[in-house]
Amino acid sequence: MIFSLIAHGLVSLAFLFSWVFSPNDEMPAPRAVKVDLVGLPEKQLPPLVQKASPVEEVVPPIKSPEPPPEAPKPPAPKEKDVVKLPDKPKDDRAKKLEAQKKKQDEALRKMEASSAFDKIADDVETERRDKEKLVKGPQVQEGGTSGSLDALQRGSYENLVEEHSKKHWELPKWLSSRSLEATVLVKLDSSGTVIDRKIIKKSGNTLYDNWVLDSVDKASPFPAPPPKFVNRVATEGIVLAFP
Amino acid sequence: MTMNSGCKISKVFSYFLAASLIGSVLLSSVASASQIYINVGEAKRKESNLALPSLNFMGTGSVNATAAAAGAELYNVIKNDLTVSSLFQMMSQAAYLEDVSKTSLKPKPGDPAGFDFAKWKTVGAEFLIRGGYRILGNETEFEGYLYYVPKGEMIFGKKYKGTSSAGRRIAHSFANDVLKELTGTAGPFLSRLVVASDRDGGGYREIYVMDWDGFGPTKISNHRSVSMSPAWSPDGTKVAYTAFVLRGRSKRRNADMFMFDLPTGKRSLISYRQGFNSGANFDPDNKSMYLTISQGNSPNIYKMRYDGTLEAQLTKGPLGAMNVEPAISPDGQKLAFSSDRARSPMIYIMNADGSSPQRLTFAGVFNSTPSWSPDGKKIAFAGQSENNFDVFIMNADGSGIARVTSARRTNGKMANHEDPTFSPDGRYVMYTSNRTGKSQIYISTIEGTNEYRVTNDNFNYYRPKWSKTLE
Repeated sequence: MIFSLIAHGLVSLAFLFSWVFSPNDEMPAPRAVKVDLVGLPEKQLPPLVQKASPVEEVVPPIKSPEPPPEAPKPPAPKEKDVVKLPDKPKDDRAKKLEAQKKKQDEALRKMEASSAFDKIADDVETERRDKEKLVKGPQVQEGGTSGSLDALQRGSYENLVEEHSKKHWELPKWLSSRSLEATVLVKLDSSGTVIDRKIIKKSGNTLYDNWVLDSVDKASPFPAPPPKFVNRVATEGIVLAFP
Repeated sequence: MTMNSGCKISKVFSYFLAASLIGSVLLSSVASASQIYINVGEAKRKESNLALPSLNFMGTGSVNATAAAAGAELYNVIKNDLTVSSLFQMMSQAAYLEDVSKTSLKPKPGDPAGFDFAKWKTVGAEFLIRGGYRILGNETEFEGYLYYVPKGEMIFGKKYKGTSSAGRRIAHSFANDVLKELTGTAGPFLSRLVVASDRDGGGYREIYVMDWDGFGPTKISNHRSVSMSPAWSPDGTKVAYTAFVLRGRSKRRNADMFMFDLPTGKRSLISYRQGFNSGANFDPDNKSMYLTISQGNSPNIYKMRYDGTLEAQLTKGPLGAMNVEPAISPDGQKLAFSSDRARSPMIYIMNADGSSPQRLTFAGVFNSTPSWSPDGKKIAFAGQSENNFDVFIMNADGSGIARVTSARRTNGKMANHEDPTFSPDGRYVMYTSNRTGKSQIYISTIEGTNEYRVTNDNFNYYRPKWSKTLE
């Protein structure tokens, strides 16, 4: 409190001091600077008089006006390391997907071959862990393969379903320009046939939702799920997000 | 003691409760993470089958020559607009199962004399347009309906009226409405283009205004010289352009800039500084424009009011470099231009006040004539990669360059595609191509599909500019 009073007092004193002793009581304002923003010499400009635009009469017919360049185009530099402009896009999405799938299948085979070793390693590991701590409560343990093999199989199946869904996903142009999104939950039986499908997130446009459902119906049967996932795909289902 | 132990029990119980809650939350999150979730991605886009049978004559008596001509004009314009729209696949009239002249414009059973949806469904039509017209004295009346065949329902129906010379306008309006109803955005079929052309011979190039489809070219300059690089004002009432004209009594020609007011036909000379006064590009403020002035030195970009007063110099060299082809973004914030300050001419962008210039394109050897999409998200330009120019569209930040044109001459040699300009609805891009040996005007979708030749003659057209308003 007291400090604040002192501080205020000091400041007012300073103001008073400067007011009393200032040699010049004018505010030190910067003098206006006239800037020619344009920077073009005025004398070169012909006077801008609108009446002096008798265009039609000053122009006599001429035989062959040399066509002047619209903008001076310097010769293109002959650099060899110029970045090329792109070609028209080709639909290579399907190719990419296929290559990706091949790669994954390859990896899957390798993993399966080595899964026996994995299993041994896993068993040793679980044994060690089991020794270290007692099991608290029930634990779910799936199958005999390793987690990474699981993930690979799942990834591979996901790719198959994605590729398959894309093939049947068509929209009329008049509808595709509106940015709409819908999500569908699809349940499949062991052969991949659709047993249930429903929109879980509507787009807000009934026609769009219908096109989405149509594309799911057209896509049935989907690729058959691997045995491990049959149950999950039939009960939990697969979520397809459009687009 | 008892109380104490009771306390302990309740504590243990609450721990257990918390643990089980956390457990269940964890479990459920694990379950949702394990759900197979697939992004299907962008759909393949397909054109819809459109049946557009002949229009019914709904006047009294038989069809005379005038009425038949009016009906043919209405039909042809609608058909052309909807073909260019790229939304439809036009069905062959030979496939139709119904004689439309014997049915009304409305469906059965509501109208006993109406048409039968089933017959259109059978031939695979997704959309059906039924239209009729009558001529009453000096008036043309058109009535058009758009039907969605799979559901057997009408999407819209509307009556249009105009003078007998308004046939094309009526047809364009109907086509605009079809696009508006289906996509939410009206078509550009009432818009126009302005272009420099030698179509009146004599070796001159003059400025012409015509409908977007090339109909009704009107000459708006008569300098009998070389006129070039026209531009539309935002409201479509004015055109600025440059012409090489004689300076007073001297024998020297100078590239001066003119402004032509379309409603009044009044022309004014707005910039006649020595050298180039060219590349006009109107600011959305309806008061000023950007242009290139060379003033004997390197060309630089300036902002100028309609009366010719310069507001600002926006580029300053560097010495010997050219800064040309200004193009202001639709919101008036950014100015794209081309410059050879880094040797190869490339597209640059800066703030509208000239600050923070930035290079946008790095590909190719020569990029020029930037042009904004109406939503300000894309920039089209002409780019030279090998020995020819093609049209490209990129995002306004320079990313995602995509090629729009790649057509060749009939002899297999490369053709030039230059001077792109977006349609006012942003769906299409217009450019010139010399594939026929002459520089002609073409249109395609911004993806480069559904190309349409606008001019069909033996003349040259340069720097077309699509009007910025839909009307």
